Amino acid sequence: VTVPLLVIVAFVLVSAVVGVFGRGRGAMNVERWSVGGRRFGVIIVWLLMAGEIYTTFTFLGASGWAYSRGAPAFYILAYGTIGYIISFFLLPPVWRMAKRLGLHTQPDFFLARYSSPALASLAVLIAVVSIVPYLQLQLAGLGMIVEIASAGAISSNMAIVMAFAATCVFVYTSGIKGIAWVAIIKDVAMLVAVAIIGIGLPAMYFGSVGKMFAALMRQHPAHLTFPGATTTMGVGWIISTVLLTGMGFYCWPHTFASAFSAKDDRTLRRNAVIMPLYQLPVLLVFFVGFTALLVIPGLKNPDTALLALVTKSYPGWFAGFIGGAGAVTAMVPAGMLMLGAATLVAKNLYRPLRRVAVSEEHLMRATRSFMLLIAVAALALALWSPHELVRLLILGYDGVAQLFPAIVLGVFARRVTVRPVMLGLVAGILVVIGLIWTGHDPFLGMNAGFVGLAVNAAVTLIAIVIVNAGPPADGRTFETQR
Amino acid sequence: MNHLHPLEVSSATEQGEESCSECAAGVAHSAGRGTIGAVTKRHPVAALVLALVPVVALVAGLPFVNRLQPVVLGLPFLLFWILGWVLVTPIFLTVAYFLIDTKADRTSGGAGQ
Repeated sequence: VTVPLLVIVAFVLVSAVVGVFGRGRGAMNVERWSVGGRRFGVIIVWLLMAGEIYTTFTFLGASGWAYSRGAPAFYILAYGTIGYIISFFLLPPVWRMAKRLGLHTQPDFFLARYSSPALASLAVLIAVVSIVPYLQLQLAGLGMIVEIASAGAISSNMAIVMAFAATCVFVYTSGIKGIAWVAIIKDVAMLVAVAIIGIGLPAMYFGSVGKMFAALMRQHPAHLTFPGATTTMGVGWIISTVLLTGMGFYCWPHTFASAFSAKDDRTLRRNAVIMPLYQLPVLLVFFVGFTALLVIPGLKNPDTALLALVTKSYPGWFAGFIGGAGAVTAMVPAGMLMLGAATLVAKNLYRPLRRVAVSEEHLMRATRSFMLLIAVAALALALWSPHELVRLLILGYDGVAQLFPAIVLGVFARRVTVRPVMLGLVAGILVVIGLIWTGHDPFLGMNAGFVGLAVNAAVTLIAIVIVNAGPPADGRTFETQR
Repeated sequence: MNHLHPLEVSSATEQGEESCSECAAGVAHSAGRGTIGAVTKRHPVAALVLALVPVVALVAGLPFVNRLQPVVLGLPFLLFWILGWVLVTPIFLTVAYFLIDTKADRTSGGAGQ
């Protein structure tokens, strides 16, 4: 038993215990389990959103991209900011609609606004297809973190199973409130870890961040402008990717639904104001990736750059701390994703498909069962099919962003009915699948998902003129009353 | 009749009293009751324009700043530009917040509680 191993195990266990006891008193129902009874204020909403947005992919992926690709990684700084600006205008009216109609999930929103079970089902399908690989990615990242940080004392698969079991326990018992408590641990640990290594590592090897950049500009002058070390990620790719992912940011069903847990609409707007500051850790992670490029060039897997540099530079207990922080960084979003996907499947596929009435208790049981089912599916994929993750994730992101026109028009244009939105959505998804499948990503220098979204928007707007039949959304659904 | 600007919200409703609380495109409000009087002080268009400034800088600005020099605060210019706009976005959004936050907004949130 080594020191880093003990630190990591302690981290995971403490998080699970905090999560289980974070449920509060009283009986659990779907409203409490999935949206916390809609009582969360600015701080907890901020923690939750940060908890699910800054994932193990940010930790490892951002440093890996800085290491292997250079400037194209900067898109991560920009797209989040665009996403928050959009959320400033978009989430408050979404919240009000959700509050009035008792919505828990994103498909609930589509069903209520467009009165279309078909659109709601399609949204569930897109959600689950996007979430499972995302979940799988968290698990794979977690395995990588723990294996390297513990210097091989815990194998990747062992780490995945252990941390995942802990996550399932607290999500099963406590729902979103348990996740919120663990998110506090995760955010503090991640901020401390990133602040220490982001400033410390460049200082250790070069004296300061500025001197590190000076050395990098001397040795790799092309690394810090687009397209960096790539050939395809020029300015056009960056712009289209920033726009696509910025618009897709709150289209993920779990980020969309986390807005429902706020206690009022202003909380969300205030939250959007402060969220961009949460991008600073990403910057520090970039510093680590760049330092790693100069100190330990030529790694086979760039995603391991941050961990390899940490274990090389710090004593064992600190590597254990980074490993523990990294593990919790994977557990919180994984919990959030499982909870989101399970609520969708139970409420928007299972309940409508059952002919009999489904009581609240029944729905709660079903949601928890689906959570375990989804967890096991992602676990199986992470353990036995670790390939093509990035491809699947890209397809997932390109997929969820196609919901953007349906959401925006749903909120701001009362007279738009389901048909144009559905046509645009299907057209956009077909374009994305077609381009990626035939190897045309990037297409004319642009992200394929962005091309799909442009087609989607064009088809939707044309179809609004031609086939926007039917009555406008009724007054109860839409925003007409205070 | 079918054609709508994406951000436009129809103000013709059966209720006869429209108090859309999230009019990003600034639709004229017909405040029927005195309690919605604060609505007239909102400036949704100004808020939207203000919020668009960082978006334009972070998207349309990129082709013009894709270079290393000048180095500012030790950072290559491209990174400095992106980081700078990320850091000032909360300032823009704070001003936008006060341009669209109203008394009506404050009461609407907890209306059902």
